[in-house]
Amino acid sequence: MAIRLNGFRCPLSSLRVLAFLVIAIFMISSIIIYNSTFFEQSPSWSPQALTGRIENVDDYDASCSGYSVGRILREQKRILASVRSELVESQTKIEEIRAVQEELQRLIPQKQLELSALEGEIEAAQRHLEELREIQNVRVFLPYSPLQIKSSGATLLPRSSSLSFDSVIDYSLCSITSFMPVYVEAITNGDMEKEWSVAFRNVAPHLTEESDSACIKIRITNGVLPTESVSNEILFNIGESFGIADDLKSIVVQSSNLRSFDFALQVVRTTEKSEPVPLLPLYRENLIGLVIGSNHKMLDVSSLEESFKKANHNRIIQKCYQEKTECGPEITKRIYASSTFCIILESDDFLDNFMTSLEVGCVPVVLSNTQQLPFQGLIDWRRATYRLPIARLPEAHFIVRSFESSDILEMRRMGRVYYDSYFADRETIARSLLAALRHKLLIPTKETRSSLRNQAKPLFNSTFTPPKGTVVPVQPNYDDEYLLGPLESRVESTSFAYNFSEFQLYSYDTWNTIFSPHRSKEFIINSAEPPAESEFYEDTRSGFRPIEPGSGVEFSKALGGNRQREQFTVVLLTYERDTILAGALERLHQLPYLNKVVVVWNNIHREPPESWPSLHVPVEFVRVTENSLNNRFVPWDRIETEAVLSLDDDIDLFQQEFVLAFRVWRENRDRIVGFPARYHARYGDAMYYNSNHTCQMSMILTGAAFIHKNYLSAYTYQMPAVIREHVDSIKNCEDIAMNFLVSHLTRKPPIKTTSRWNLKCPTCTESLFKEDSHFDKRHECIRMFTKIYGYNPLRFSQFRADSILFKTKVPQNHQKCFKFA
Amino acid sequence: MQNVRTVLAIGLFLPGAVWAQNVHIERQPCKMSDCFDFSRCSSSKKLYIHPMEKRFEEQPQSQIYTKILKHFQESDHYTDDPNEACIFLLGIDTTDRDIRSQNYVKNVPEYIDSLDPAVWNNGRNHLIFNFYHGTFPDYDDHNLNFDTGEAMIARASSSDKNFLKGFDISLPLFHENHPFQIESQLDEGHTKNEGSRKYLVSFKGKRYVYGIGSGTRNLVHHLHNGEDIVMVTTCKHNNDWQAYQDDRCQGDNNEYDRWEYDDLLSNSTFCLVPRGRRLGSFRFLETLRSGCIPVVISDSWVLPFSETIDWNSAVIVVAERDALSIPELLMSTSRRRVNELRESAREVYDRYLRSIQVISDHVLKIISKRIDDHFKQQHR
Repeated sequence: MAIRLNGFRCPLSSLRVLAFLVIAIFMISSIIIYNSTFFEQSPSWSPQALTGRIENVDDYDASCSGYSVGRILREQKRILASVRSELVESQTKIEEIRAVQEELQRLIPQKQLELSALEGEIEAAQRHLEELREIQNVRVFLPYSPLQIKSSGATLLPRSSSLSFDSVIDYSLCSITSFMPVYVEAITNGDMEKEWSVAFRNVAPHLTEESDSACIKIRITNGVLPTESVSNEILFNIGESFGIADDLKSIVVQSSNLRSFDFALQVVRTTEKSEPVPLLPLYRENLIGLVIGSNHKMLDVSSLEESFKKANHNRIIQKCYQEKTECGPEITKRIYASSTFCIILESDDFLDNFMTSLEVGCVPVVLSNTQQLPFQGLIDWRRATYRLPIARLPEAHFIVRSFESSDILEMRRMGRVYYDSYFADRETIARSLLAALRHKLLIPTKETRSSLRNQAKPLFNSTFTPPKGTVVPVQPNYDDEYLLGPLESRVESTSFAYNFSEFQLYSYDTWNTIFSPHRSKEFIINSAEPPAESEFYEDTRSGFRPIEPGSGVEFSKALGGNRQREQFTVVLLTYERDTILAGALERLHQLPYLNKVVVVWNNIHREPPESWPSLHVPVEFVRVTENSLNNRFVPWDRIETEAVLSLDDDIDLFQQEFVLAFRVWRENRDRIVGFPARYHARYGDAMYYNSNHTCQMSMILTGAAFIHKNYLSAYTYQMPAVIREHVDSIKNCEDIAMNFLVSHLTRKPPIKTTSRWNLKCPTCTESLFKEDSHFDKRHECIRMFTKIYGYNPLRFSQFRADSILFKTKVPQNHQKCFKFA
Repeated sequence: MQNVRTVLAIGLFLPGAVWAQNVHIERQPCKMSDCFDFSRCSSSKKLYIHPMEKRFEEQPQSQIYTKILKHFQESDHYTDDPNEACIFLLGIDTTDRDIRSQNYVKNVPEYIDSLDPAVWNNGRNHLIFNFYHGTFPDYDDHNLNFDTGEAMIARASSSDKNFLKGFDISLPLFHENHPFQIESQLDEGHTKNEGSRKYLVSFKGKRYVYGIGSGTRNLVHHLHNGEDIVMVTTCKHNNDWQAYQDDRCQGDNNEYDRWEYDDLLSNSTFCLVPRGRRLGSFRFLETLRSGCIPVVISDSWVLPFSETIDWNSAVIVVAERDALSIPELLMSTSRRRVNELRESAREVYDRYLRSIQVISDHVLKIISKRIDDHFKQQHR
């Protein structure tokens, strides 16, 4: 830094000046002394004197720069103040930052601890996962080689014999038009034989007392082989199995010692129908239950036990050949009830064990490829059991462990359904046997549409139709554009068309899907559909109503679809709402594809008015004996079509909505297709019925729904009676019961059509619906039906069906399929 | 702390290619006696410019170098025979050696390799012009990214640590629209004693919220009193200044707009010339041109033509750490001294810095004087 102040010049040296200076100094000093004596105490050359003289620092320009000292000082002070304040600010900021830093510093060790703890947890979890994987990984063991299987005991192979089914049946007695007359006889005497006898008599579709003309002679015996054998004879052995000579001409029904055409059936059983074990929960205490009889005492199960121990699964291996081991049917049942899978070995008790296993919901693992299962040509046991050769016993653990949980549940469910449908009690067994015989002999039962059970009684003395008909004012049911549909003449659906094809083409469905092989069928729901273009060939043309190419207009002129044309029957249940009923009937006038209207008159205590609206189709009133809601699901013989539109009397829908639903139903004949959607939901611990708006439904109320007539039969004859009784006792839930039934049989949800949610006509006031207890009853129904079926068969659906061009922009020359649907 | 953070943040964007191209060459500590071939200059001091080839031309040559070369070519010293020449110049533009700059010429090493080695002679007798060296963040790397060999470097913004005294030549920084040629203003009889100007000292410029060069500029706001000391700064530089602004920026930016730059220059007695990113700045010449006495705050900067000019008589040099005492210092400067400084500054500017021609000529004059001194010494 270079500061240059003013410099002094050197004074000149001369004598004159010197003298002058001396005088000057003298004078100056005297003045100073004078000043200090008279004015000041302190010497005047001191700094205080100097500063005292200067009145104002601002005047003093020390460096001749134009800036006084005062000014400079002030400027510096200002700068200092500015710097100081910035310093203070910075210090506060530093303090803040330091506080933050300290906080972070403090947190660091804590976070590090947390981090290491988390890392430890992750490690532990990974180790645990590895362990679990280890456990799940069941080791595969080598199967037995033949030498290792030592099983003594009578061979249970179906023995080949010189005889066959056809050689022991005299077909001349069993013509296809004979309806299979059955003659029932008991050879031995006893209570059991009597009970069986009664059972057969009750279930035989065509009973005869003449043994000579009978196609089938049922001879009930208790372990006693009759001396002479006759043809067409069924030896129903309810006792110990007896050995059969190769040339025995009877067909034997017992649990072992069978030839290929004999029937394997376990009949030494208590016949009380037990409540089904619930389907869920899936896993039971033991994974596998195995009972080893004395004929398998050489069987080496060590590898099985080892495999289980390793995987930490529970199993029971009951070695009944050992002393002091509890054995017996009760023990077996208990063991099976606590196991998920039951390994069943060939033995005399095989069928008994097999049935027990099905009854308690344990999936049978049959360790035999040769053991005959009941009706195994008709019932597809692969859906309910798993067959393994006995050599694969060491691998059995691995195999059963590999099943998906839904597969295990399905097998358990099917096992229970088969059991309930064919083996549950005496009458069921008897019926199943006769049905199996019929199937083998290809003999249909004698059927007409009306039988004792569903014959409708006319309401009006002798006629179904009311004596007086009022003319319904013709409401134009069409837009200016097009008709809703053609009003053709009435046509009934072809019935009893499958009398013989049922035994073969449809036998699988009959035995394994519909579970009703006992009578010849009026209709088959999913019968084969003709291939496309059938309608254009001369010989397959009849019955078709093909839709011409085009859109809405052409669509309305014909039914189209993949099948021949058909119509539907409206079934209306009415009680105490005559005017409302009349309105409902009027709204059905001129409805295309309507075949007939059947009104079930539940007002058993009074006679109907005589005058009713007269429609383009007959309106028939059916008299019933009880005011029961189940009446709407009786397969009345007056119903002549496969399609049934079950309606409440207060439903108000557009005709086109019915037509759309009918068309949808034609493509989904095995499902309920309708309008009011409901669902079931769990709140807390229990299941509840729910009627609020939803995006996922599981039921369609039968107050407005299309159902196949076969389901009416199933509801009335096949469904457990206790459900119908419950419906009667609470006067509610028949629609829930129907939904449970259909979902149970098809394993599919119903289909909702159109966007309609509330269907009640605006002026209709009275309804069962309004009671408070209505919903309580329905919640209870859902829970009770679930218990009866052993599981909740309802299935969810998340979509609804509308016509193809619904809410679609169509070009000018096209029309929508329906105006509102 | 914010500075470190921002520097780090910006540092993350550095591409690796930058380092790849950084050729670290240690420069020889040259002296005229070691690295200059005086024998070539015994008869005449001719100047040869290596031709520039099309294949090396990546982009148009910078205006400044073009003008310098143009001036030399048109001068009497110019010869196109390298054997005759005493001093050599490169045809390729070496003025901007900031790797990140758009004007950076990449293939200087290739150009030099292409020269006749007998002529290039490892840079002996060559004069290399450079105005910008180094790059973000500290701009301190005096390396030119090519081997200059024994060449003299006429450079701006040099630090005295890297400057080869007596060998290199320090240049001022100027815009490309600095007058190429202008008449001397000195003889036009302007008043010697101007009288006091409105402002004692002023500064209007960027503040650089982060990074090198922001130290002094960030504290000048203390000195601002709005009357006779005007120090206004703006935070707005680069596109990302808003991310790094501090609490003062808003107020500073507003105050900044109240004052006119040229108005301040011509109405201030002193003008603050702090360093920017680099040690030198355009501001130095601008203040000299407007008759304002520069107050240089740039530690270790080698002022332009320090070999010939005694700057202490024309400018005030203040250490960066003493910046806050500037008002006191300036207010204590006598009027007489102010006039002296002003006069000297004006004279220096006019004689040595007023145009590109003058600057270029003076560079040659410096070298010429060295040559003459050398021969004088030899004859003794």
